[in-house]
Amino acid sequence: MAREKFQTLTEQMFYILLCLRRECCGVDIMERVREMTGGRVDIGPGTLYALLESFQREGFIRETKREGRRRSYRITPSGAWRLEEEVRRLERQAADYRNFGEEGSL
Amino acid sequence: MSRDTKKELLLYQPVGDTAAMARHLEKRAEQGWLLERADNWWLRYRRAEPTGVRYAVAFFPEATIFDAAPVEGQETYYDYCRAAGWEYVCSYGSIQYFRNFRPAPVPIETDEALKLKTLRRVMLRTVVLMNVVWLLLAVSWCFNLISSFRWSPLSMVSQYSALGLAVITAAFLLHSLLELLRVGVWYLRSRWSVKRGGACARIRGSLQAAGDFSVLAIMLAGLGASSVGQGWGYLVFVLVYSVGFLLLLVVLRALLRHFKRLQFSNTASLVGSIAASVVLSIAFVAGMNAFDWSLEASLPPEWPKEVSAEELPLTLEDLGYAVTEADRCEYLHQGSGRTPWAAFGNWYQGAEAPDSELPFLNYQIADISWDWLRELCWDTIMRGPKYGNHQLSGYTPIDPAPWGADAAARRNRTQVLLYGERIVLVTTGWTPTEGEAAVIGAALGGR
Repeated sequence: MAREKFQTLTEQMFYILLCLRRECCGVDIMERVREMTGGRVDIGPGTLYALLESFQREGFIRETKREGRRRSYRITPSGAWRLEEEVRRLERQAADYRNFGEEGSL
Repeated sequence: MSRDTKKELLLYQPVGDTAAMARHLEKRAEQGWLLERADNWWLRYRRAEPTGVRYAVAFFPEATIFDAAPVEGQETYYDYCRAAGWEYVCSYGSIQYFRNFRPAPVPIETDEALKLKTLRRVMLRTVVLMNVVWLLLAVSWCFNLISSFRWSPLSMVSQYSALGLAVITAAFLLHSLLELLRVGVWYLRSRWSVKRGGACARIRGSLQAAGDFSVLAIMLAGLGASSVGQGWGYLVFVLVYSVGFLLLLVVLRALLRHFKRLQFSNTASLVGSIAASVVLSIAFVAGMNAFDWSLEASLPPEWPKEVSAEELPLTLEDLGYAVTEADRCEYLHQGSGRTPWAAFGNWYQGAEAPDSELPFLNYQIADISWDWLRELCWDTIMRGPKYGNHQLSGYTPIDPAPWGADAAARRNRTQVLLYGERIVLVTTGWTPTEGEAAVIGAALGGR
């Protein structure tokens, strides 16, 4: 089924929102996500820019500080709720896998 | 151009085929040429040590070619790219060029769905908009051609100039349609792929370039066809027009660069460019019209040509009219044309003296060897011409027997006659009698 905008989050969307649970400068998000995932998830700068703009429009994050061109962001309650929804969805999927996903269990 | 810099013609637009453009720039870097500047026609390089640098072509849709300075958010975008090792090289409108000296840099776009959305926005504002405009222009030219054909079909099918125009119009129409189709197919394929977790489809720039050059070749062929049989005055006009048009483009580009150097605001640069385009275009058209008139005035007019009575296939004298010197009768060959499929001639006889009682006689003869074309001309004539939105009355069939013709029809004082492959249009200042009809048919029917 096609993914509607923000109905489910891609890995990159997920980790950007997770990263912004603490105030973070946009420029530093790429490195922080790499550290959080042990290098497993890379976010391209173009993708980062587009997602930050989208999240701001959706109200998931807000700009907290601007020092020259350096902009800092933080997740909003709406964004935090969306992130929690995604975590619950992933947990349900993992539970379904544990219950039904083992070989011969069905 | 010094030995440390060089220019390269941009053979195809990187919109869509960013991977091929990046590979091309990387190859140049390995040869010791680093990209310095790019616009829609040229790539400019500077000499450097051969290096294995990585290039990327990305898009910032909000930027346009009229921007003297980065727009809102553009510098933040550059900062993010710089943090990932992507150094900004240059840009042209929404197209951004970056290079990275790291061995395995993270790509600028890592989300194909977002990349598709960005590319779609850029395509709509560039390729799609441009081709919709070209399509509308080509459709309007088609209507003009059809309108001209409906007005004088016999003359048009016998002129290489009409053929050339038709070929050029068809080339524009086909190219625009194919480009829009290509972009549409690319978008649908990309959307299908991205929905299934894949990457955006590639637009093969080589195919686009092949299409562009094919259309250019067809247009040049059309231009060549339209020049057949024309005097050298026509060729001079076409040459001056083409050079003038190119100069206009060069001046507009120079003005745009000048606005940017003067640090005009983006809005002022856009408004100034549009105003300059309008003013210079009007001046160009006025200049070309003036040149055309002066060329026509300096060259002897080709048509109509005064000829002797013996050169006309049919005269008023043949129909029994007494023509005297007092009538100051003129015998004119008003036009002719020949293509492999049609030959056409237009003749006129009439009195110049205002008090003469002589009627006038005008006839057009067209021999059209292609059956379908002849039938099309016949049907078009029978329908009657259209003047703007006003459809004039058509022809009413009459008895062809007095004319010795296969078919005949009349509209006011004009008769259209069919003799095998020949169509004759006869306009007289009176309604011919049966006897006169027989003489006209015998003289003009070609039997």
